Order: sequence, then structure tokens, then C-alpha cells
Amino acid sequence: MAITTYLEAINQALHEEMERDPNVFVMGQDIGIYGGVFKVTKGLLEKFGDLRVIDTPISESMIAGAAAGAATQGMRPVPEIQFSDFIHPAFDQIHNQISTLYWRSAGHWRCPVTIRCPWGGEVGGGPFHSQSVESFFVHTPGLVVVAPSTARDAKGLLKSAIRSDDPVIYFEHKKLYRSVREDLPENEEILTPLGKARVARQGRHVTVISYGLMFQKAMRAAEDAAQHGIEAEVIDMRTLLPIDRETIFASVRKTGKCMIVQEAPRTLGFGDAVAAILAEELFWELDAPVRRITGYDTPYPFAPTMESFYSPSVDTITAVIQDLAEM
Amino acid sequence: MASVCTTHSGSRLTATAADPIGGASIVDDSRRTALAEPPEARERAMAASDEIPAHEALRIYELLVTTRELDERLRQLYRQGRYEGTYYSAVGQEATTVVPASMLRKEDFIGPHHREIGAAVGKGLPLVDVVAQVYARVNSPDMGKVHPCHYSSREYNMITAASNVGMQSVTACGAALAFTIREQDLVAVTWFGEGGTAKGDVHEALNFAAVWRLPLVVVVENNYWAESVPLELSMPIRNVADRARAYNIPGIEVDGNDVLAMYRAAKEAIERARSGDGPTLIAANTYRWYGHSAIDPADYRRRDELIRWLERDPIPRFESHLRSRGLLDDAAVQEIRRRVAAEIDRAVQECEAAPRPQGVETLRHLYTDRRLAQMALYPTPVPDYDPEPWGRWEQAKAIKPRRTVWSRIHDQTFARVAPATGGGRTGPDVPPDAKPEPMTAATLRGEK
Repeated sequence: MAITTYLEAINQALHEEMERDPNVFVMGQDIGIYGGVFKVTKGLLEKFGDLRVIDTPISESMIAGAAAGAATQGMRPVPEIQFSDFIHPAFDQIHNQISTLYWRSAGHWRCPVTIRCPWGGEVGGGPFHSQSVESFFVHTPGLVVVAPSTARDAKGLLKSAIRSDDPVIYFEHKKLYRSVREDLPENEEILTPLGKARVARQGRHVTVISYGLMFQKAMRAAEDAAQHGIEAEVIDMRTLLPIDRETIFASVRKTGKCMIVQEAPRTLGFGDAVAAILAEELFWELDAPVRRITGYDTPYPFAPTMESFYSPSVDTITAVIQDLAEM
Repeated sequence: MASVCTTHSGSRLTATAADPIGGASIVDDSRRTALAEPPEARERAMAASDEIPAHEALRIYELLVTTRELDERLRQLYRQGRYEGTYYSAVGQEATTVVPASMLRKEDFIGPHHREIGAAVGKGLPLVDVVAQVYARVNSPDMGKVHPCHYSSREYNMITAASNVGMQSVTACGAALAFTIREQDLVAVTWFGEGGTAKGDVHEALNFAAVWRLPLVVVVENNYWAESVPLELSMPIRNVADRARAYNIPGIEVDGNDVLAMYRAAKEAIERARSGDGPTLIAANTYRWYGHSAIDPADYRRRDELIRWLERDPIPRFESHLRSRGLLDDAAVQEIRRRVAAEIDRAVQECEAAPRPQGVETLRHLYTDRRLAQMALYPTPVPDYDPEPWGRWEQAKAIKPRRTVWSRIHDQTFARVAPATGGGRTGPDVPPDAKPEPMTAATLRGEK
């Protein structure tokens, strides 16, 4: 066993997959010589050389799109977009070329690319280094969107994504890089299945659905609520598209109450999709309105006072769990 | 079979009167510095050159004739309401696509846009694949998923284009990167118009390809019009090849209506790429005879500009070159045209007879992993599909004719298909057998 941080888990996954398959390569800004601005790709250049660890110009559209072009020729690229805030120039390639290729070629062309994308706030990054942009991609048919919340899944989801023949957007949370860690057996092949949520904490009163940093906060809130005799069931979504209805439905059928916690802005966020599905499919089994705990419909603020105001807190989550439980 | 391609009406460049099509108010020339001038000076080089080997020259000629005839036929079929959507004609620009594509290996990658029917024909795609794509029938490589002129073939490594201008420049750059990483001596070729050179994607692709010396050939089809916007309003330079200087790569300006010049430029660029010496930008000056799409009358252009380019039709120019080398005579030309017409007839007939895809095809091939597709499309049941149809197509093609192949793909789940009928475009003003004649300089001048 070895204590592994979320960041080390991603680094290990890259090492393991590049060793396993010579078609796997990484490209992006500052990922080679510098080892990545967060040091996620540290050691790859030395080990795999500059043909498989490619420092690129500041060209996000090319990084995503050229990776996809290489994928059409049988490679398995893992491009990095340095911050999720910078992914928008690549949106055209991702939304029009990458996500649609398999579908619009009636299965003739595949695009097995895994786009790594550091995301999220509470890192003092301000409006251009803290964004949560997952909803744009959840609204893009043909993509698989994953957002690991634990070190184990950071590794397992990345390895599964690289092996998948479908294009995957892999959102890794910057705040979790060094703040979560767990024992990961060195010799275990960790492969987290795509499209499977995980019930991280059993409970019978309220279902709390979350991912990324907010999942870690939801777990702490659930512990706090337990002090008051409320047992919250916490679901770590892991994959945001396609949505694992089965796991959500099984839990909400049990609890009758559901809340979604996300740090992204409120309107048309991931929580809206879950709330809509529940309203449509499970309305008669709900004992209370579905609640959303989200960031505000504003850009992400910088000043620490404003940032802590913007980002949902453990106390807020605990309070809503209690609210729902008492309804 | 409709009438054959335009006859070359000589080299008279006398049409000078301002003659806006459809009324004097349409064209505001105030911001244009000059009409798009066909490059006359390079004519001499063509007559003197003898460098394309005879068999290859004849093959290119036949591919050019095929592209022209097929393009004109597809224009007609659209007007007759035989298929839906629209059509993007490339008539007049054939040499810029056919010539480079015909010089590639099957494994080389090509990333076209939507005016590259010549790249499809030049690379060797079966004509039925081209027609079926336009018809959106079940035998189309994309099963009707994309609107006309997005030709593709996995077998010939021609990717299906995303319509957004310039996108495939990035994709081709990535294919070239794959060849570099794997140390294969393959090349990637991409095409787009001069309007596309204003896109950020094209800059990002050229910049990276140049830094990495990727085996990429970029052919800019400079037809002087980005849909309705003239070159002068797209860029501050007159020679599109000047773009290359910013990337420190060779930029070749070439008369794109001169097959021999295109051949020389493409040969140089492809050899450079294949030998690991990096990308080349070919700026091929050419002209599209018809509108941007089938509904565009192109009335933003001046008729005298169009007439001058019609007189620079690449096909008769190349034909007279071949005649002067003794490679072609009237009988040979007739034979080629008969063969091409028969091949096009066969392809069109097969596609007219092919069923349309059922609506539920929409649900197929969202993900390679059908479990994920079913999750995403819940509660609609997702039909079974072959996650890797290409492998099966290849296997099947070796032993069976194509018709059987697509029947097999289109399995029993979708047995009840709509009978093949014409499209919905037929209107009171378009008789079903309408056969609009191809454009010629002479008819435009009112000589016929």
C-alpha cells in the first residue's frame, strides 16, 4: 500500500498507460520540460521522450483537434488543456469534430481521445482560473464526461478513459490535487468503469449527489448531519455524461429526497439535468422538492471573501440536508 | 447523360464591359482594387512542359473529366429534386483537388472541406460512395447523417469533414503528427479556401506543423470569394502564399487551373513532406463557376470576371496539352467520356435504387460502447449496431458486390424501408427532367 494523492494518482495512470500502449501520448502546454504547471505530467518526458510527451504552443484548438486527428490514425492521445477556463477556443473542435465523428461517420471513424482538463475553484484563481465548465460538455452528444472526486477514481477513470474508444473529457479538480489522498495498492490495476456512479456513503434520509470538490464537502456535511441523527446517502457521480440513472434512482427510491451540489453556476448546470430526470421519472416517489446547491449565476470571483461567499460551503450543505430531512 | 463539359472557346479576353448579373445595383466595387485576374503569364510553362508521365497524365485527365461530369450531374439532380439539402459545386476548381489527391498513396490522410469532390474522386473513392453521400441513402459511408458534399472513406483515409471552415486543417495536422510519432513515411493533405486562412484554427495548425516539421500539405483553393466576400475584404495581402512566410515554410503560388503547374507544386510539396522536411502551403488560384451552394446565384460577382475564368477552364487546357503530346485524339476523348458517363450512370442508378435510412438510424453509433449509448438515450431503446462496420465492410467487399454489403449492414431491424423516390425539391418551376446546361463563356456572352 502507498499513500497516493489525487495528483500522483493521475501521474501514475499516465505512466502506466503509456507503458502499456505505445500509441498513448500526451501533448499540451508546459507538460514536457516543465512537467505541467501542476506537475501532473512530471517524469513523463524523461521516461517516454519528446515524441510522446509534446510541449505545444499556446493553441488550445490545435491541442484538442490535432490530438483527435492523431486518434483517427490509431493513436490514443491524452491532450491537456491547462485550465478548464482555457478550453473554449477548443470547443469548436470538441463539439463539432471530436464528439460527432463516430456518429456522423456511421461508425466508420473513431476518435479515442482523452482530454485532461484541470477545473474548479477554491484555489484563489479568480474568474479565469477557477471555472466549472462541465455543463457545456454534458450538453454535447457523443462525449463521455468524467470528473473524479477521489484519488482512486482519478487513476481508475483516467485509465478507463484512455482505453475507451469514445472521446472523453476528463475534469480533474485542482483543489483536490494535493488535498485528498488514499492508500492505493501498488500492484492493483485500477479501472473505474465509465458511466457508473458510486454510493460513497449509505444513508436513508436524504440523497446527496455531487462530484469533484463538492463531493468531498458533501461527505463532510453528511458526517456533520449524522451528529444530528440524519443519515445522508452520498453519491459520487464520477461520470457526468452519460448520466447513471440507475444508481440515482435506486437511492432516491430509498430516501425520497434528493439534493445536488455543484460549484458551477446554477442555471442549466448538471444539477438541472438530475432534477429534471427526477421530476419526470420519479415524481411520485419524491417526498420533498429536489434542491440544488450551486455557485451563483455570476462569473467566479477572486477576492478570498468573495470566493468563499460564492462556493457552496460544508455548512450550507449540512443545513440543506437537515432542511430536507425534516420535511 | 447530360451534355459534356464546357468547350474551350479560345483565349479571347475581350469581355470588359461592366455587366453585373441581374441588375446594376448588385455589385459595389468601390472597395475592390482589381478583378480576380486569371494568371495568363504562366501559359507558356504549360505548353513547354512534358513532365507528367504519359499513363499518369491520362489517368489525371480521366479523373478531371469524371469530377467535372459528376459535379455537373449532381447539380442537375439537385435541380430535379432527386435529393434533399443543397449542393456545393466545385466546377472550375477541379485541378486544385484532383491533381494532389491523385498523387497520394491510399494510406495517406486527406482532410477535405465540402467543395472537395475532386479530392474524393482523385483519391480513388468509388463513385457510388460519392453519389450515395449526396443522396443520403443507406449505402452512403455516413448513412445519411451529414448533408451533401461531406465525402469520406475510412478505406481511403479521407475523413468526413465538419463543415465549419478550416477545421480539417487541425485534424490533418494531427494525422501528420501521428505519422511523425510512428515514423511512417505518410503524408496528410488538407484543403480549404482563401477565406479559411482567416480562421484561428488554420493559424494554429500551420504554426504547429511548421514548428514540428510535420508531413502536411495545405492546399488553399483561392477562388477569390469567401462565399460572397471578396479576397480584398478577407485579407490584407494579394498573394495567399504570403501567409506561409509567417511560418517559415515554403509557400507556392500556382495557377490552380493549370494541371501541369498544380502537378509540379503538389509533387514538390508531397515529396518534401514524405521525406521529413515539413509542411508546404500551396496557394492555388482558381475560380468557382457557380454559387457557394445550390441556392446561391453568385450575383455578387461581375460577369466579365466570370467569363475570363471560364475561358481558363483547366480541363480543355490540359486536354490540348495531351493532344499536343500525342496522348489523346478525338477517338480517345470520346472513349473516355463514354466510360465516365457510364460509370456515373451506374452510380446514380444504384443510389436512386438504394433505400433511405430510417429515422431511428439517428440513434445508432452515438458511442462505440452501446451500454453508454443506451444510458444517454434512455428511455428510447437503442437499436443494435456493429461498433466496427468498416472491418465487416472490408471483409464483405472482398467477396461480394457492394449492394449486398449495404443490405447486410441495413439488417432486419430496419427491413421495412421507404421505397426509393425522388427528393422533395421538385417544384412547379422545375420540371422533373430539367437539365440545366453547364455554364460556358459563350452562353454568358449571349453568343448562343
